[in-house]
Amino acid sequence: MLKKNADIIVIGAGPGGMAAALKANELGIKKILLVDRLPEMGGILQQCIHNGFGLQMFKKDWTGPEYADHYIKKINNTNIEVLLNTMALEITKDGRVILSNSTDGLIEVTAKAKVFAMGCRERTRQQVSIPGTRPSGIFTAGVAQRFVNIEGYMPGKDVVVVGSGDIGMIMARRMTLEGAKVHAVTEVLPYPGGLTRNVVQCLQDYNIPLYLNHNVVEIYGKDRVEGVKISGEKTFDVQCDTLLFSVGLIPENELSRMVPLDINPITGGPYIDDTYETTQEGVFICGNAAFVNDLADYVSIEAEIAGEGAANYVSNPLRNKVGVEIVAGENVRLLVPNFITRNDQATLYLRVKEPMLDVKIVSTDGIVALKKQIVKPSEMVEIKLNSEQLAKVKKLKELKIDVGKI
Amino acid sequence: MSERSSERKFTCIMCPLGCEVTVKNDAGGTITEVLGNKCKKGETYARDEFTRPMRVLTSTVSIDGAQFSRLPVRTSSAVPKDRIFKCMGEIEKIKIKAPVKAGDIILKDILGLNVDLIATRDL
Amino acid sequence: MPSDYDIAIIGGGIVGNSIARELSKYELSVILVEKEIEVSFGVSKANSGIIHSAIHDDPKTLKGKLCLQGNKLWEGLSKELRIPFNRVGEILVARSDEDIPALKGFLDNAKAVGIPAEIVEGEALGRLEPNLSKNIKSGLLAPTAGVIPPYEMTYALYENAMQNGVEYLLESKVTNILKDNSSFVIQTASNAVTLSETKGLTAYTPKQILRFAQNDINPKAQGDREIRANFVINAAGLYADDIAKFVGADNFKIKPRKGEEYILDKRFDNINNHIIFPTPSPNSKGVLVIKTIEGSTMIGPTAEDIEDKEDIRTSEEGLQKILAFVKTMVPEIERKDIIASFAGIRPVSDSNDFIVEESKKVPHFINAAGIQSPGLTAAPAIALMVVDIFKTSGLTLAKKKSFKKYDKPHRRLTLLPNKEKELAIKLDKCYGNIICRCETVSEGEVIAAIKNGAKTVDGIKFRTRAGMGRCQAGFCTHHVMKILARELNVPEETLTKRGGGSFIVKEKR
Repeated sequence: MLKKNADIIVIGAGPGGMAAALKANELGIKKILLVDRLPEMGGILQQCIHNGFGLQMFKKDWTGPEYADHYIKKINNTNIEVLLNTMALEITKDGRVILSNSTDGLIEVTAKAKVFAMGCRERTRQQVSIPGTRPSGIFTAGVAQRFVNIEGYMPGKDVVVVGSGDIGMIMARRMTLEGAKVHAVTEVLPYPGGLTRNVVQCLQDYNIPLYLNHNVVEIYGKDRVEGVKISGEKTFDVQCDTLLFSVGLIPENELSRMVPLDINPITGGPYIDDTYETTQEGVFICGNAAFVNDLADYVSIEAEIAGEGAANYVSNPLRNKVGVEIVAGENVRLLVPNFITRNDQATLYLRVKEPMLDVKIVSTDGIVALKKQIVKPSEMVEIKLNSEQLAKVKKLKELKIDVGKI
Repeated sequence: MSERSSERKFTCIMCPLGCEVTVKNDAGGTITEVLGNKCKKGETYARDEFTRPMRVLTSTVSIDGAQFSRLPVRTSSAVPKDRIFKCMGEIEKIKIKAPVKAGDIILKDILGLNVDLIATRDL
Repeated sequence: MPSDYDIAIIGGGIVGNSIARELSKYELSVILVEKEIEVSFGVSKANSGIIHSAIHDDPKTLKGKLCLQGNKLWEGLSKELRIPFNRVGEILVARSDEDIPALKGFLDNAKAVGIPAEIVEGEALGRLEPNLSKNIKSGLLAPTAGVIPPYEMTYALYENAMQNGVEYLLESKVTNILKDNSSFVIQTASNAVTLSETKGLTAYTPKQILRFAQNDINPKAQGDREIRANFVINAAGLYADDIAKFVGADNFKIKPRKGEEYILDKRFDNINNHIIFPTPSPNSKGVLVIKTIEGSTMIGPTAEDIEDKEDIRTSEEGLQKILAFVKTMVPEIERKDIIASFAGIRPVSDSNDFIVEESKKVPHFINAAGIQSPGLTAAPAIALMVVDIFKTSGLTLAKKKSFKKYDKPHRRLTLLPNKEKELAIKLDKCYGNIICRCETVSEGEVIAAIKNGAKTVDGIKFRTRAGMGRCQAGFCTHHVMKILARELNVPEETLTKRGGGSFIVKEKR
């Protein structure tokens, strides 16, 4: 087996992996190996041909490929070793990474630090237990996106989208622009799963009906999808030949489990601190593999922290990190990272359980006190902590964050 | 011709509040009133959406001789919303040859709207 | 006119293929006709892979006899066909005190026919099955039950049969059988759906899809054939009664009985050590916690008598029934742990028993019909029984001197030690290109599957496991399509999920 050594191995060259690798490189780390199973860098960005990327980080309104390109060009100007078409198969008991590709076969990598940036996969029709037949013509929205934008296939012509997540709404528009008819988008909750911007520019713009509080309860079709039964306030059948599912993303943590790392059932990713280090020393994680992000911009910010964390670990593996646990309180579904260790600055990300107007976000001892006009589960809230606040946090046993009405 | 006024509703996208803004207009189509917005941005948004809604269009074109058979493209700036399908018609006709660089103009002055269609990646 | 073949077998599931392979040991010309695009796409597609101990079956019935006989043949057969077989054993559990006398009854019946069995109680039961509900105090252990990979089994039989001269005609539906003196003339029509009829349509409306599914296509399409054979074996599953009717050999009816099953997430792998059965009721073995050969866990099946032989829908009621039932046995199992589901249909004869016999009305027409559970277990015994029927029916059976052993098992690269993986990659670098992340399947394995007869995305799935994992083919589908298109030299838009009109995509731009 080919054996390789690296200071840092980064698994996944999407927005997370690229930003982490670049940051570590900037900080002077000599041998960085960046690995991806796809034939090019950029990860999921290459199929996200719509705009809206980079608004926060770069004040630009880029498409996914343009956002990826910004990082790809930088990486090509470094000595970061990039291995494409390469699958990470396994993390061995002694922490080595086994890779596989058709050029070198099996490769065993020994690295001082690892950064996981594997992204996420999509929840499937089967996981939401919709009964009926199992014909062809059923796709998750992301797979349909790849088919249309990269492979050049038209998945079908009469579409129903299940779930109003962003990917579902984006694909409703995309399919319409390519000549399909999108008959309905169903959403089981009373509010849309994605950004309002997408409800307007993907559904309203094209008169695609959004049925809130409705679900697809049966799928018909012998060989290919022929229709669905939609049920909610009304129950009705819709004839269609294609179903796109946009019912949630699940962080991809097959490798994390091998370390082994426990998976936080709320985030779907491992437990992490504010340097994006997991509970296993020297193993860092960023991007959607850690928890599902709304924006690639946030992924890049987190990834830089992870890359910096990995670089610091390589330079100084004997550290003493003391962490204060972060606890989710009222109306908080997701709160990351799970521990604060830094003194200089830290950013927490929060997702609420229920939408609320006129809220205040408060913490133990009043260290955090933010007001917001509106909070929604589909839009993550950033809570930035400065050194003053962190000094107070250090004195606590745990920091609890609550979201309540003003 | 009656002097009836009518109204249209818009969901503002300028911030997460997503206010529902109503634009009232007279029979001649002139805006008479804008209600429901919580800030000035909302009023501007609704007025623009009423008079001349614009959208950036992103899609793919057929490309030969590249690693993939589709090249992602975008309009260099927003085009009128009511011309989107006509633009798609023009885009569908395009067949280009690799290599292409991000930023290359694939189609100049699409539909005479003073907007170009540009490649969003190298291929 | 002389026959082209000694024997024609109609139906390419586990039964048809078992018979085909057994017959291929003799100097006979054999053809197997199957209406789906690949073997094992009919009733056998939904098989759970269980080799039953025969403890459930009345030994006076044919299915009881053949199950017991078949159970003993599996070690030898699995070795010959190089597929894994694991006697994991089964435990029939008493979910309440009322079940206990019934279990005693099964124990006595088992002893009477020589099926090893014993009652296990209390702590001993808990040690055997730590995740069993604490309410279950008693169970009947039958250690001779086992599990195999059902698809691999059928493919191994099929490939070995082909190696030894059996001809296969796939995607061909039998439309009539005529008797012509001493031959049967079997007429077939292509069961394929051509995509060309769908090009140029602006919308793929459901009516049109339905039309294609009902074979409204050019009758002269490739695949139409007339087959002349001296003997016919009717192993046509759900449609065995229709096939038999063509020649008047139909003294039975096949009634469809649906069963739904649900597959659990990997984290439930090996949650039980044995197959867990409830105490059976007169009509059904009940809802089980099934262990597969790979260690994954499935729950089900239901047993629902239905009207439509094509109705393979899963249902909310079926799911709830199964969940409620299994939670009384393994309480940890929750709805959210389900990653896949399917339903199959058992071809139940009106006598509720197997029918394996030469038709009394039509000589040389042999029915192997009504093969519901324990059909997989009984399959090798059914094949031997059919050979015996031929012996008494006047067919000369001369054993082949050089029967080719099965030498190309489907091996999963991911299960090999690294050194062997590297050898494989050295031989063909395609084994280094992993195209299915969840089940770790390489391009090399997909190519091998295609060389062995896979033509569809499901065919690849059942041979390699690509698409069976957590992401349910999200990542691998476009890879599988590219490889199929390349190896079969067909346009990607003609590829189907499982034949017929199940095209994956509408068009390629």
